[in-house]
Amino acid sequence: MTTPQTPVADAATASVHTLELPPLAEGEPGAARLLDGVASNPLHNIKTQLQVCIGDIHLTVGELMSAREHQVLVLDRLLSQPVDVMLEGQVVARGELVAVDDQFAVRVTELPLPLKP
Amino acid sequence: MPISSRSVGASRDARPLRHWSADALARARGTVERALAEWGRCWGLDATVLDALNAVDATAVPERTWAAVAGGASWLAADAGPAAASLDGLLFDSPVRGADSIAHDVAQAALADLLEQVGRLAATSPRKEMPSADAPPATDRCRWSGAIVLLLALARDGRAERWVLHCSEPVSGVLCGGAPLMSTSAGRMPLTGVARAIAARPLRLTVHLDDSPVTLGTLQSLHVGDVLPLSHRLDTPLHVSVAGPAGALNLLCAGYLGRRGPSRAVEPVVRASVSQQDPS
Repeated sequence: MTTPQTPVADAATASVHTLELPPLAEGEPGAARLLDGVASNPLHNIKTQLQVCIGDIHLTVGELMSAREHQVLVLDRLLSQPVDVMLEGQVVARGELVAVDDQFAVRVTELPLPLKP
Repeated sequence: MPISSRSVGASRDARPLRHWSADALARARGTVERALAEWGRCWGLDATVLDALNAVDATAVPERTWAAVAGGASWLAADAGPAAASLDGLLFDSPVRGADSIAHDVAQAALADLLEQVGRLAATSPRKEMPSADAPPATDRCRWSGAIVLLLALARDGRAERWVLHCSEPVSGVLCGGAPLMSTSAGRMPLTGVARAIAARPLRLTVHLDDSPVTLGTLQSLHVGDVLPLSHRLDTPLHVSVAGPAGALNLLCAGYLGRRGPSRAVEPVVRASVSQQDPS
């Protein structure tokens, strides 16, 4: 099977001319947003990694060095307090830690206002 | 510049910092003066030490023809020219002479005796034999080199010549006969292990679940009350991490989630035992 080739124009006979690019000046920003006319926001398909932080443990290096396996470490969160849903190191939501089937899940209780752009 | 593990190690270029006190220099002066006087008596010369200095404090000296002392790390030179010629002039009042004359041989013998005497001074303490060099190293003029310079005067019948004895480490250490500045730990704080030194430093460990993939569209359509299913299984321990540079989390161990009183808590397990239990 042969690969289709892009036809090559004959430089001698074809009309070839250089491109003159017009200068662009910074204009007044329009009222319409760039993505307003797009039916489906392309950013929605971008995949990222969500991290759920259950809480922190505050201790000293000495306490950590002497810590043993199965020694209970208490977190700085009460059972009633929500967990943090983190994106790129920032909390984007908070919620209650729950289970769905055999996996952890978060029922959202707090969202920034507005979350949507 | 941060210290990296690559820059730490046994380096042959490292040298101790040495600077001798006035007392130590006086000891070196006395030691050399006694040997010099003894040598001078044998050869009919008055030989004394005028001064003893740290090499960095000595005024710049013109180029000299140095004679290496036996054992290395020490050199002798006369201000007026080659050491043997200087001795020839002092001993026989006639510095210009053929190399095959008896006087020249005597001067050479006197110089050899002097070099041996000085070499013996430095050999009073066990030390590593130094490689011989033609002249003192330029680094001896640097601060904290530990090298010393002794200004000598050799005289006979009213005629005098100035000489210089240059001693590098470790010969200078032997002559100064004591601990150099900055070498003693007496009266200092006792040594402490690294772990103990940083034992009180506060740490924050973060307990978190597996990262869960999600699209921005899903996130932006979240509402209060929505349930966001995560990829972390209930029977899998959580991750316990410590924050590293630039906020990156470094996994420390795993931990099973539970409660202690009103608070959440984890029961940590070493990561190796988790991987044995969990084939995934």
